[in-house]
Amino acid sequence: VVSTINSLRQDNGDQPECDDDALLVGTAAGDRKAFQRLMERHSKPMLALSQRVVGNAHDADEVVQEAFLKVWSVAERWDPDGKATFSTWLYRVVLNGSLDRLRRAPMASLDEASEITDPTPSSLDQTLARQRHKIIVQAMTRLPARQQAALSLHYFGEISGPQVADVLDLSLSACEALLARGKKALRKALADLGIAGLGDIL
Amino acid sequence: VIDDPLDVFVRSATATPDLSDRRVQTMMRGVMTRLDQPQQKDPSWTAAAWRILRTPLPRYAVQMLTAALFGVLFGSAIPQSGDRGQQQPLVSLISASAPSQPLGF
Repeated sequence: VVSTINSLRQDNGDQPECDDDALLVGTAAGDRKAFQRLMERHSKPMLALSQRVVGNAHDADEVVQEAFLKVWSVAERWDPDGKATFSTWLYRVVLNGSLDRLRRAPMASLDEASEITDPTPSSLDQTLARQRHKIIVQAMTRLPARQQAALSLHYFGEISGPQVADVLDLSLSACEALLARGKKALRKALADLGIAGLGDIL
Repeated sequence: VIDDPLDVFVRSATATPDLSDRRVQTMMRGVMTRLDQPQQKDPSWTAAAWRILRTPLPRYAVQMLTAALFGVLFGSAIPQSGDRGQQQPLVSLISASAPSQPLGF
């Protein structure tokens, strides 16, 4: 632990980057700088995933903060030789946190989302974009939980198929089958909302 | 590779949010601030017991507990199977005094 902390202290801009496991060892020892570097490395993709799942920046910030607080509290129990990488584990925590938040506080209704308070073109575009997003998320909430999770990662996580399978703890073939079932269900859910193609919402 | 039309549809309808460095820094500062706040500890057994004791009792709880206590006390006073010999004269006396009539079944 001491050698890892020392290597972190020496690790300036010219030095090669520490891997996540080394930063976690430092975090477990109470090194806040290591923890901060871990956050710097993973914050953007986690915020992007959460915001696209929950549909707003405020809730996404809360979810990601909770996830990093969990990292701080479990760092000393982290097993670097375990099945999942830190990134995979973090994706799982943020995805579950975001879906939980969505279940507890469903998004505003489409009517509320489409309220236009400012008639300028940029504001109009933002309102339409928000409405489009809410339609997709609303359709996804009608799916079974596993399908919703798989599709959320597939569309919002910006990670590869094998990574999606890792996060969901599935084999690649099982993950592909789950995604195929999810897409079929999503088509039906969108059709139930009266959306048959891009033209209906763009 | 031809993209699935549904993929194109969903991805075009849900653009990646534009995340500023300032927002990321604010979020991280929030985490560090929360680290310094006292964490809520898991409740200990004594705290849990104390909380149960302080919970208001239902309206008839005392009466029901008293009744249950009396039930146990009087129940223990009822003669057990070994005392049946003493009951026999009493049962015989009742049988002798009761009119002989059919019981209806």
